[in-house]
Amino acid sequence: MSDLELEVKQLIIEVLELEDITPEDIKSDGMLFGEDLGLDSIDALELGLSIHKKYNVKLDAKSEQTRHHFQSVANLVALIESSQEGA
Amino acid sequence: MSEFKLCAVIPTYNHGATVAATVDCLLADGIHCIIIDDASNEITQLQLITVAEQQEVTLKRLNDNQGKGGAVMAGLKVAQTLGFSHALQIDADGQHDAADIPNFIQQAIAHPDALICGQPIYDESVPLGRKIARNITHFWVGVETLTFSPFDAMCGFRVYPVKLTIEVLDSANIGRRMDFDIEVLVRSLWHNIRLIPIKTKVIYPENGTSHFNYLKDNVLIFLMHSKLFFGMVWRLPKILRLTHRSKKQQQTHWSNISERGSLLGIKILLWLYRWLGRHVILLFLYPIIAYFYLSNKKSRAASKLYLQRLDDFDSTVFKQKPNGWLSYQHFLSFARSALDKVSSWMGILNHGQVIFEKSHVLKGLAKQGQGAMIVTAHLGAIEVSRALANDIDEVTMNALMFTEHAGKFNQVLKEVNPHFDDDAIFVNELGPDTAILIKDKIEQGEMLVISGDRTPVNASANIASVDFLGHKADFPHGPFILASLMSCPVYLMFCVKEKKGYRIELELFDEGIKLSRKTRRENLDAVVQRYVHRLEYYCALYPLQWFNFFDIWGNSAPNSDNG
Repeated sequence: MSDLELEVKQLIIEVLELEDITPEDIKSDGMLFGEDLGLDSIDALELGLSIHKKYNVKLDAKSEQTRHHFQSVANLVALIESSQEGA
Repeated sequence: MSEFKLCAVIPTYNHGATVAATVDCLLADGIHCIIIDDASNEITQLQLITVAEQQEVTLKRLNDNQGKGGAVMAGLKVAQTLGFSHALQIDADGQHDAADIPNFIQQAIAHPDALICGQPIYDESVPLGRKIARNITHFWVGVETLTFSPFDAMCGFRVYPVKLTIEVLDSANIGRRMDFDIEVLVRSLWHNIRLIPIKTKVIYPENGTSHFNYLKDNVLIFLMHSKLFFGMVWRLPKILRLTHRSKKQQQTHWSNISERGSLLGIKILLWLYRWLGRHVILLFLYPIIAYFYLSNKKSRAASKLYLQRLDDFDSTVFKQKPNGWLSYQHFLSFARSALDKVSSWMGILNHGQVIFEKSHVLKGLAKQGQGAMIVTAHLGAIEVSRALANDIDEVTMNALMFTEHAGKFNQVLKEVNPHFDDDAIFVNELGPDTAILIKDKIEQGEMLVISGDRTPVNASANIASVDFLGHKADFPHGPFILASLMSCPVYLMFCVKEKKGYRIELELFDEGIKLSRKTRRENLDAVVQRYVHRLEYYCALYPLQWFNFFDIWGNSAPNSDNG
């Protein structure tokens, strides 16, 4: 697990107050929304805001892309990395 | 699109002498001719039978005189049966210049889904009476279709796309006499069929018979315009959308139609408003709203249900039991409010006509750099306050609108004030991107206005079923989810009409909505219920200003118009 992956997982747990869950429990390529972690659309909003705040990530208004970014920790990490390269 | 196959439809009523010449011309161009004999006299009948002995001529006789429209309709049906994709309509009286036919065909091939319309260039032979009728018609067709490129809708020299036009014909009871040419054109536009104009010379032959009956046909044309005008008002949202779309298409497609000023119809109304004043427009409004009221069963039922439930909820609101008259007043109130929205953006309505006792609250927030969420409802006309708040320098108000609910009417507002949507945020759905955008604004001390009483069509999950006037109704979680994410104060604001001018009601709803992840749904339901109770309170104060003309207690999705 890379540092950034761990950081993102910790952020998810912290922001969403996921008790009883450790970063190890979250699979990097597991589905955040739906079966694996069971987050919902409101969680996505909260997560989006905190990722924006922490990493200054900009999101496009195209919902399909956004959906893709929020599919898994791995995708989020990719999003953060690409936006940091661009900065 | 199937293969391009053109025929000509020639409606004939006692034009025996000129038909032969027209048909010869067409046959020379290799065009199959469908002659519709509209119950002509015996001499013509015999002449037509002779003409029809030629190859590539189909003759159909109508036993009762139908009028030109009826004949063209019959002709189009024959064309469809014979497998033609396009039908050239040309008058048999020699008015139309057959030399232009190749132009028509060329355009029809290039635009197979369009209606190709002759745009007459008249020579001196045109009688004055018809000229006047044409000018009146130009004006009305412009209003009815909200296109105001000078368009001649009376010229019966056209190429119809057969299949599409028959769909248009089947969709309405279209006039069968001289009103046909105009009505079919207007309705084609409503069906999003493109019009391609082609200039053509029109001659009034000295010995030609034209069957334009001045009095009867002018009366018919007047009646048809009245019918179409109401149809336009009713279809306004759709027409605006189509106009908008065709404008967009124009940017990418080559086209020779000039559609600048496409909203001129509306502009004319606004112009009348400016010059004649509100009262005159209201005079127009009464019958139009009466027509709406009578013809719109669903909205009428929704209005009555609302008034009845409001009366059950608080019997002191109305002096007497709600009845049809009160419901009509409810409709009228909506129309007045729509008018006010427009006039406020035109700058006609000014601060002097609006009482905003708590404006200092908003100013105070702005001074501290504290952003806030303002939840409103379709109660009164919040746009009025937005227009005016624009002038309060300290306060920046953003309106969050769901695209599916917006557009249409807003487009009109944008026409009267290009700055209308400078501060509007249009979204399809509430996603992380929107949340980020809004958070930035709130953190900069701006206000975000959102409506709390319309559920997005596709967001079934985030809906609270709460008591509204004593019965369960669906209201969205969305605005309050957003408020919790923004961690900022939440205000309720309504801009309601009073006897003289408007009053802006503002109250603090919550210092900051906090949701616990585990009990989030219950928390949200409770917040929404609290909001709806405040809504009930204001509905009782301003009963005829609740503008949701759909059954909010039913499960049906709301109408997307009426912003």
